[in-house]
Amino acid sequence: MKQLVFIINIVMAVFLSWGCAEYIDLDLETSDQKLVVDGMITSERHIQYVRLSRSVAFMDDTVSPPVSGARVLLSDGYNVETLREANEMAGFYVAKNGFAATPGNSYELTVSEVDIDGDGVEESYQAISYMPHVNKPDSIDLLFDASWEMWKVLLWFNDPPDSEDYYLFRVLLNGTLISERISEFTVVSDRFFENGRADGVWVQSINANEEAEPLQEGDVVTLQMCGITEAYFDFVKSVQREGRGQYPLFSGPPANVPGNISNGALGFFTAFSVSYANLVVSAGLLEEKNNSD
Amino acid sequence: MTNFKFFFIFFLLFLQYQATVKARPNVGEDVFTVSGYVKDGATGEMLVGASVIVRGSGTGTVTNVYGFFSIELSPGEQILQFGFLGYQPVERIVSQTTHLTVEMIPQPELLEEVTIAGEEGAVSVRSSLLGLERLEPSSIGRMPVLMGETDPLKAIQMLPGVSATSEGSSNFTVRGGNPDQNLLLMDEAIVYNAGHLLGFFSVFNNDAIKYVELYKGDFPASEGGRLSSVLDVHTRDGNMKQFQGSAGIGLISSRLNLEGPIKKNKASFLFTGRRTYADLFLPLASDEELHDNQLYFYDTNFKMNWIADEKNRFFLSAYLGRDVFRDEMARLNFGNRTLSLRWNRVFSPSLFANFTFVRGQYDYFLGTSETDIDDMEWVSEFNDYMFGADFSWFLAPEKTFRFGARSFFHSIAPGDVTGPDENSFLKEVELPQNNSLEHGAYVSYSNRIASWLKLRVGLRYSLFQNVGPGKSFRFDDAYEVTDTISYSSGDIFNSYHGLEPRAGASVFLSPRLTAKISYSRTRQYIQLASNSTSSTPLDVWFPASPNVKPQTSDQVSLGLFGKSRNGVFEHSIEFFNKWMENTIDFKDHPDLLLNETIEGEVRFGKAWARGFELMSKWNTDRFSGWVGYTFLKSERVAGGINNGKPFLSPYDHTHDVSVFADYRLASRVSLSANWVYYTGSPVTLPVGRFDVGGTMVPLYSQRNGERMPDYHRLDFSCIIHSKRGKEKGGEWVFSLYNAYGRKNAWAINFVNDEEGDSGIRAEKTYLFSVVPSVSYTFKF
Repeated sequence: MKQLVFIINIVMAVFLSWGCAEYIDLDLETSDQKLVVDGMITSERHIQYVRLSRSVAFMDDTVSPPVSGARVLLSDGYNVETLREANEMAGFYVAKNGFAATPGNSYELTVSEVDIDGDGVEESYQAISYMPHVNKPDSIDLLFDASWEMWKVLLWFNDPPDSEDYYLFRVLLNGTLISERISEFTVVSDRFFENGRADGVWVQSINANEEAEPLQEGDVVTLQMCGITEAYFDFVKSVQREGRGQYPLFSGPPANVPGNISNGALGFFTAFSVSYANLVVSAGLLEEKNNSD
Repeated sequence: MTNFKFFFIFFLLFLQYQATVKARPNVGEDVFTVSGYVKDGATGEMLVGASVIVRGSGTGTVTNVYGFFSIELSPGEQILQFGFLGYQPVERIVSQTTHLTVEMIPQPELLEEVTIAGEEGAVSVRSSLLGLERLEPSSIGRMPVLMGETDPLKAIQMLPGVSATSEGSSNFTVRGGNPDQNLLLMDEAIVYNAGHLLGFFSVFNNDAIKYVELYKGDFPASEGGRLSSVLDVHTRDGNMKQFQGSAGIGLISSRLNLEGPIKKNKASFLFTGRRTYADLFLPLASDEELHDNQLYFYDTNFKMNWIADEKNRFFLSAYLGRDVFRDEMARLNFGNRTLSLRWNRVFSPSLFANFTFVRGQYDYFLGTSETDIDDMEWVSEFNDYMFGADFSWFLAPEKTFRFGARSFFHSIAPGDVTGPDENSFLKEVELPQNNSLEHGAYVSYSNRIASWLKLRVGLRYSLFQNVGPGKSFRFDDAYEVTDTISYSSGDIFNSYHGLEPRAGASVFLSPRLTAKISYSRTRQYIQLASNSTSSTPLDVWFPASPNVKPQTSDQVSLGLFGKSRNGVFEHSIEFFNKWMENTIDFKDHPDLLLNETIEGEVRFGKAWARGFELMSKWNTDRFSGWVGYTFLKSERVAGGINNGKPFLSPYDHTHDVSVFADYRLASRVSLSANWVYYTGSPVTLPVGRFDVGGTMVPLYSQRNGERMPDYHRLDFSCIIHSKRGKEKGGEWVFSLYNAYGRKNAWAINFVNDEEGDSGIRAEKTYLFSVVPSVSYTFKF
């Protein structure tokens, strides 16, 4: 459905070229401060952390203030792991080295000993996420698209037929995550793959316009494929939709993104499994790009 | 409900009894019936709503939409007076059953105010419908409009209770209802998407139009299927006497209109067409990439009519219009096609019938550029077939019995996405077609039972059926699909039906003051999957189904209509209260496009609207116009939306003022002005923000809890005729849209301040500042 979004954006761009924009003064109301949880637990032996912060007034020019001193526990039903706040990064609560979650388990996050609403009484918040399995991709390939000035990352993959699966795709270039923000994520449902089979489906993109660093021969492009829950899929979709701007043409009324934290807190706690496929950029691939330019 | 039915039937019988006893003292004597047509003597065009008054009796009738009238008269010689605004009155002496064809001669221009014969009578025979507004193309053409494109839907928006859904849009909302709750008819064919160029212009070409009527809730019993309004657009028949035409050139489009007799006084044709031509200049553009771009729309109306004899008349109307957009990245085109065939048959002098067949189609195509291997093409099609029969039985003056039935077959292919390239990686997505039948049968009866009282009662019965082949889904409480059921071709797998009573009364308090009251129920079986306030070509209509119950509306209105002694002023006030059930809304962040299980995105609710509308019209020789005001409160509640609390309709404009004034400065020059003001539309604005995954996410409190800045706008136009007069020669129209350059917000977004560093700022997008335009029309 990426094409659809592109077309809608193009039509909208034509439309907006008629329009003009101007700053206006608007008095917005401000809601009470709320706890914001931004947590991702993966199946990898990596640094695992949960970030806690507070919501701010919409027009506020400050960054979201971190929440320090909270007690953050992670449980798989048998073991309870305490996440400790990093010394140099306030609001980041890190699991001990080597902690990795296991697909098929459910994880519960508990945040307590915080007083967000400032009434002197400490609150407690919970969130639960199941960690789905993910199969390894067969292979990936790159295809240059001249009109959109990007490399399309194409996927070959067999989806398990019996389950309803949701996937998150991110791209790493030479080991560094380049689709860091939720707005750069791709999430799909397995209904996206015909008969459970992906044969070169476009799942991610690498920017190739003038501002981007061009790909070099020997660069390693990695596709990270994650098995996510339907709730997280909906969350990512909603965040992306909210980020697209409000125009009467294609958007309905804006709405809150659906989080999974109890007690009125915002954000999402998700656990997902991870697998990878690599590709080394060849001279032939770069030549194809030059030919199509 | 059963009680109600009983009461209704009883009421009908009572009326019949009343009528038999009082209105026909002459039973057995030689009453006779005069019937026929009233037409324009210069062009042969039928006159709709011309008054036919029996001199000395104060009773009479009006011609119907085909210009037909029938009136039963008591024995002896009687004088019939025919009157129509802007025409010289005609009198005919009649003494026996006859068929008359009355030709009326248009009033010469610049005559002083002429009292039209039988006008008092004409007022009293006015229908008892409330909230009926009528516009003629001549007044539509005088209104200043965006880019000089005369548009009946923009004129409609100047009426109280009606406003545009967003800036510059021809899409409209009636009393806070959704745009898909308006039934748009063009020569009885339903128009499902009336927008050109993303809704800035409508598909209705003013050159082709005879008149436009808008029913704002008190529908005639013959119509149904929508909750808000019926917009009835009738096209002209074409000149029966001589060839004539006009050609026009404007800022964005040029127009051609040709009409004339095929056989004088027997058959005629009408052709109108227009095309925008901004893209014709693209090959001249300095940027070569633009040369192959396309951006235009066209529409054509073609109509033929044939008077076979006194008793039979045939009409064929066709419409074809399309928008085409193409650039190096994408292709988009969409349009309507309609064909209506009608047969008027006079079975007896007092029984008039019309049979209609309609074939309508709306389709769109969306695609990426053709060069890509992962090219995508998306087509969607809506096909509609209708057969209907309507009968009018003129029992006595001001006593008419109408009945009829119509059946629709709707066939919707919501979307089929393919990659035409053989090596395409794209998966084909084809949403199953859905088919349905919609039937309506009605009876209505109107009678003036006393000199001071006219009653109208109507009953419509509608039946809706989902027809296979098709699929239906079962959903659990979380709106997840639990079961899929497939039906084979021809299976009727789901039905809804219900009664739609309509009733109204007019009380003639004095010759110049009438009070009206009405009640009307309607049911809507087919709706648009859209939660945006702008019209887009990507329409997905979906019908009632096992999961989607029909929407219903009950509306009560009460009005007072007055006229000044000299007929210069007309004032009206109308209160309305409307309750709607099973209304359709969509969950937060719904997936409405290419979603097979779209019904899982729907949230059902209730809606209500109440308010009042004031209108003062004046009409003197040189100066005419109106002032309209609407007070409205339109709310909804739906599913879990807004935590289950009521929220405002996105079209809730608390105060809405529209002023139209037209002044004839000199014999060849007239000036017009529009002024529109309404309370800003409700919007949802953020009350906070937070940060997850490196992305800023807004936080909202309630749906439609805030408002956009108030909307207002002033437009001017100036029309200059050449010396040869209005009927022949040239006409210049200069117009100025948004004369004082009000930057009305079309959308509000939040952006990072690029100049200062004060963080996030609100930014409004406005579409039009001052837009001047000029157009020239030449009539021959």
